[in-house]
Amino acid sequence: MLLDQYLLGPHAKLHEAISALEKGPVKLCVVVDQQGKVIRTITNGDIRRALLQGLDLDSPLSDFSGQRPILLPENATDADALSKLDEHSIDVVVLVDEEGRPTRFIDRLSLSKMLYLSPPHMGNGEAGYVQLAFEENYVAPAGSNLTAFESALCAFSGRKHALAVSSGTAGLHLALRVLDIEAGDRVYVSDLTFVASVQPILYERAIPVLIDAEPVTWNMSPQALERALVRDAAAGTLPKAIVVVHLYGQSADMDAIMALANRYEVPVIEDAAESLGATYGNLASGAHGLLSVYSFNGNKIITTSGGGALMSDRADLMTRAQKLATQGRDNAEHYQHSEIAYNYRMSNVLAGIGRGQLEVLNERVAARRAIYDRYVEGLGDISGLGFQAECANSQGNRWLTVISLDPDQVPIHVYQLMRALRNIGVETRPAWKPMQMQPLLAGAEFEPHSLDEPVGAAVFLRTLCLPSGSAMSEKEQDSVIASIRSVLSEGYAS
Amino acid sequence: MSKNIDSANTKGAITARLISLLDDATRRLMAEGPLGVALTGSGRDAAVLGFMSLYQTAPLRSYAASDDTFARDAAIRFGALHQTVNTQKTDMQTELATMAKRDGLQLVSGSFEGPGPFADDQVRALLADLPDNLDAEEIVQSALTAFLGKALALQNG
Repeated sequence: MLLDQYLLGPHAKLHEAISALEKGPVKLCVVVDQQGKVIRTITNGDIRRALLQGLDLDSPLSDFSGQRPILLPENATDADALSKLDEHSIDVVVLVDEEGRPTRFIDRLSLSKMLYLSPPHMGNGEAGYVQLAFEENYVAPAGSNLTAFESALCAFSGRKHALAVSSGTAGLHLALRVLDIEAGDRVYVSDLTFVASVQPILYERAIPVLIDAEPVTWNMSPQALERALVRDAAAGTLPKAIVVVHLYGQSADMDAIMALANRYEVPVIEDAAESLGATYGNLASGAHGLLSVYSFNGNKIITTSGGGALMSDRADLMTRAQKLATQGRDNAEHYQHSEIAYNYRMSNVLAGIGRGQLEVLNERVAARRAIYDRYVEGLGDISGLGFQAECANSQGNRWLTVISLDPDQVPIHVYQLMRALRNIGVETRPAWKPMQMQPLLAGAEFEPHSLDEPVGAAVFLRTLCLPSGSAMSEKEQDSVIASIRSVLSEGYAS
Repeated sequence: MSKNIDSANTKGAITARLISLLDDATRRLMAEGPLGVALTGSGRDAAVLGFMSLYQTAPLRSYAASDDTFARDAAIRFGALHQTVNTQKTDMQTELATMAKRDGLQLVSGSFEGPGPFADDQVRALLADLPDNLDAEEIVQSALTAFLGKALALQNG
């Protein structure tokens, strides 16, 4: 990597170092003497410490406290560089020629592939099923893969009917349509979720009522739900449906939620987009509500590249959903249509991927749960660091492992941890931003968990999703754990 | 069974609303131009820095008195490049604004008088129109605690 823009002369001042650091992706600049030999290196952390020590922007860099630069000879290998980076817990090292003049950088990011949050993890069977679609020449949204995939989904979930569609969002939209939800109808929905849980409600011009999270599993708060139902029942404004999300693969308290829904005779739609493979009680996640939805987006525990499924035990609802998913064609030889409908069916090619993925779902769940356990083992002793909990009587799929940092015990914010990890090639993500904090839903009704404080906003502001892909090796995970421990113990000083 | 409660006027709901308004006001302010944050001993200042950190990947800039350890803690928490001035300066606010201007930044803070998200019209309206049983300072503290924890949130400036 070229480094001319990062070089500073011996009399350079602090503000020049800041400018150099802001010019490019490498967060390090090099101070050289008049012969061009390295005197020292400067990082953002060095600058922050210098400012805290009372230096001002016009202070010469020579006033910085002394520290021998960490260098490598220009013929060093990548392995040498990685060893040096690890030895000194740094992200960039400068290579110098025989005279001690800098020739290039090697940074950690360039040495290692990015470790992604939740990449696809293919098994051995998917390609064969895709090939089958080609051999049968069924590459449209019909064919044996689609039928077999839907049957396998039913078998796995215990549901009677499955409809494979183009996305989980499409599945949710169909669920609302078959319940005849219309403009002005109220629909309760988990506040702490991805926006796809709410968008279909807005498609129908219905009114989302955002139900806060509870503080243990961060799923829909039964207390908030009950309060909202009591009030709306008294006012004659009960919702037409309750959309319950199983956050990051951990089930909401379905016993409590279903009891409330049944008491007020409000149908439940389970947004199980993230929880395929999880269980609650004796049933699969997604087998409790009247309707439920799974997602097979590329980042999910299994994938069809993109896709979803609507599930239910009610044949009448599913027949109607199938019609709505295929442009609403009426029963006639010709193309006749009486209502607004959609092109939502899944392709038979993608269903082939889904067939293969379903065959390894149990392995994927086991792998993600093992990853969660390993994070707990590796990080659980850190004061102020917590994990998303599971509901009693449930087993999550641990699609993502999510940590929280208590600001009274951890000196840096989760975004600083996220950015520090990104700099060393580790992708993490903030938790979903609550819907009531989204400009899209400004002014939407919100029911807090407690009358005194909201939960979802605090969860968002304190939590981080860690790499959780089922193909992640123990060595890779150990590296993530070591990096988190390093950042939290030393502060973010890259 | 729960009582029939108008939750929209509870502390919990209003705190959530305040967090949302501050977040959005900060986002809109940042869209207008580059900002630096004056940390003058208030948890509100730290919250402004915190909301800004949600949107800016490059290090933020903060400015404070040299002996303000809470300002230093806030800068560390949110990864800000932190500059200080000697506490003997008679007009600290002017001094901090001068430093920010030299860096090409407009100085904002957690002051209700502005500039900054706490001076946003919607934020002020929310806090000015609370139910009789709720106190504005209590709501602000609740929102700050959710973000910053008790130690930083309970600073008063």
